[in-house]
Amino acid sequence: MPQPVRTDEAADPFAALGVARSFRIELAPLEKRFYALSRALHPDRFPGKGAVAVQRSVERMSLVNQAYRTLKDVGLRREALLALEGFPTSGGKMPMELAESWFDLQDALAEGTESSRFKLQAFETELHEFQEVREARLRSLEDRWEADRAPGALQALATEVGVGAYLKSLERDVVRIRERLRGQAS
Amino acid sequence: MSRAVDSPIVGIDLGTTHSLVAVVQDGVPRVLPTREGRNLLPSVVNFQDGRPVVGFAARGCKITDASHTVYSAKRLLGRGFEDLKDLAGQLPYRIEPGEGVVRISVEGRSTTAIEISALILRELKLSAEASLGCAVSRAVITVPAYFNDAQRQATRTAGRLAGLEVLRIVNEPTAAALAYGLDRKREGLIAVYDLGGGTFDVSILKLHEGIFEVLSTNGNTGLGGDDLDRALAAVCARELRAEHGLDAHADLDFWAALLERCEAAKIRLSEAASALIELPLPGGKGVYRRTLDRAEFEALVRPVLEPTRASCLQALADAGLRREDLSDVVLVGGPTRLSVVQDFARQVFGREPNTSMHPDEVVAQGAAIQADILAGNNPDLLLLDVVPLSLGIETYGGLMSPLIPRNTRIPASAQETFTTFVDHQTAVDIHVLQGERERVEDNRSLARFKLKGITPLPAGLPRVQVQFLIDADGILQVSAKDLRDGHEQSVEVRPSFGLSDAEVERMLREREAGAEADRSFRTLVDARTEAEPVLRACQRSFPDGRHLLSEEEARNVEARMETLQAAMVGNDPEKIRQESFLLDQASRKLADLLVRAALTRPKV
Ligand SMILES: Nc1ncnc2c1ncn2[C@@H]1O[C@H](COP(=O)(O)OP(=O)(O)OP(=O)(O)O)[C@@H](O)[C@H]1O
Ligand SMILES: [Mg+2]
Repeated sequence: MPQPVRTDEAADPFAALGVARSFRIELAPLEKRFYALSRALHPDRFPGKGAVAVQRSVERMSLVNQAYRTLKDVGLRREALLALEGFPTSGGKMPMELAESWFDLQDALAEGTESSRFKLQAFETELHEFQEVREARLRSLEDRWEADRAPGALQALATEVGVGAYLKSLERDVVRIRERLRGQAS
Repeated sequence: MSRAVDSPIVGIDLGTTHSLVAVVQDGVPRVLPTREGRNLLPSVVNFQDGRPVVGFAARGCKITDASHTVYSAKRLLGRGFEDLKDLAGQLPYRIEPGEGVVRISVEGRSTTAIEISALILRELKLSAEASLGCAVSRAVITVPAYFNDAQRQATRTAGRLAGLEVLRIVNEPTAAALAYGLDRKREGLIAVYDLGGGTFDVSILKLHEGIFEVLSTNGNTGLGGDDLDRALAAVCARELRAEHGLDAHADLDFWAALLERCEAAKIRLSEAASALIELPLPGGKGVYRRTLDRAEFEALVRPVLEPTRASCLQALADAGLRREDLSDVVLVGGPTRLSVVQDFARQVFGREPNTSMHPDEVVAQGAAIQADILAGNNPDLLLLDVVPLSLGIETYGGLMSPLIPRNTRIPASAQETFTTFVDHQTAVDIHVLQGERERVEDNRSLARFKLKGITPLPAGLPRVQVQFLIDADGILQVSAKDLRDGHEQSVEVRPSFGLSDAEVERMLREREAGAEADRSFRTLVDARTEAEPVLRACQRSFPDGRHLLSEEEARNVEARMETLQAAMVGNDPEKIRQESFLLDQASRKLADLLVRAALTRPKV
């Protein structure tokens, strides 16, 4: 089977919807803009105008749809902006702050000890706190860029986003572990 | 030419059990009567000497002529034999594997669900033409929102075979929301719970200033009212085995009859407190009889409905909503007339569902409104729909890599760049999938194609960019471009479960040939229908009036009656018309005399 190679030539969603490049976008005006563009571009507006016009409309509308999906979502919007500014995000590593209690939990699980449950709880609390702190950090980095448009903040943000992807996979692991422990308990 | 432009675009609800055609007149969607003079056309086809009969006439044959009757064909659309194995024992007709699509065998002749659907669509087209008095050649056809690409393509092909240009495939719950939203002038967030004969859909929509935006959809293309009948029939089958040692599945006609009685009982229970199931056993071995009360019925039904709960919750989650956010819950489909279904929906959504729309007609009405939008008559309205299932490709290790996630607005597109992994490789195979699972085999295979003509280079160097585009019908188009030389490639996507283009072409040619045969058959039937009352009137009055005629006149009338009778058994419509005319002439004197005799007869 062929392996797809990612190319980073994603179109500019901000341009597609005609809004300024920013981490902060108000959703209500964005929706209004999206509706107006849809009314103008949707293939339903081109009946009987010929296959070429319809096909063009399908292609343009698909880009607008994709852009809207990206801009509506804080995380996707952040990644898109970083990519456009030349800071593609890459996979992150386990944050130092969480490493100790994560390996603690792994040890307990491996030994199948009673403490697994408490270790899991401890880890979940730490993960949660870490996420909150991280959110605040992301927001202040974004604010910095909004204020000075200097690339320094973007570099830091790109690193943080990479960590975010790692945290997502940790969250999934936590759910799996919780379910496994519940299964053992019953 | 001007005629084709002026002719209205109709909206068609091609249902598992019932189909309808509607059109917007004076701004209001109206369901058009069928040629049988009804609003609903049962989606049933019966073959009489190989000739298709569609509708109530065919439905009557479900039991009397089960082996020549096909229904619920929609369940087979765009599916392969492997998919349908579990269904095979329950369908009252035989299905066989075929290249691409599954074949339905009717007394040795083999047909497909696409062709059966085309016959139903053609009947609707003829009905619309008869009722509107003009040619109808363009239509909007609805499909369950949860239909995959293959099922949508199959529907479009059926339309084409029926002589219809399918301007748009619209999702059934979206159509229902359109009709509901306009009729009730509602705005806000609404959920449509559509339980039909063979499919279940749930869609969440946002209605705002004429925009009908689908936020999410979910469903099950193999769950519907038919399953309630089968759950009931399964209980009866168990009892038949225990009490009479009878295998209810062994005899197609008996199984069809049992299903029909169970359906009738189910429908009765939407109004009555209990229903009777009564059925003569095969071979005159007595009668099977049992009553069913609501409580027992509802206990049987609830587990069948249970999977719809997860669909509803997933749709809410995908829309990013809580159920409290909804302003309306709309029920669509025949089974939602059952209080147990209404209770279920109330419980899932935590609010009183709206049952005020006509559950059978609302989808066709919505299709007609969308047709009106496409005709350019409704510039304020716009439907924005989504893909129901994620689209992806097979990657290393037998995994699916998603490209377009489910509930992405359509039209939607995604690009992926491929390379080779062997030196000097000039082609790569691409396997397109639809579904939500990780492993390839748990998803639906949509198509396989080969990217050819890649410049021979060391592995990993070529770059071929493939664009996947889902159009407003939810149907996939693929194109490819060699990024090294900018060469566009046309990609032939062979649907894994569909008719090949060549097959469709052949069917279209056969239809042309068949159309002539069908036309002359219709003339023949018309001629017989016209002659019938002439002959019957004469047969009735002749014995009474014979004495009023001279011997020669009487013999003449007698002879004409015989020749007309003979002509009506034959196949020559001209001959029938002529004989009918001659008999009418010959018996005119008789009719006059009888009228005069009646008038001069003294009153008593
Ligand atoms: N009064 C009623 N009570 C219960 N069930 C009913 C009633 N009337 C019709 N049905 C059932 O509704 C089903 C048909 O519903 P409907 O006509 O909405 O489906 P459809 O549009 O043909 O199918 P689909 O939308 O799945 O393709 C059948 O199973 C039928 O038995
Ligand atoms: Mg329906």
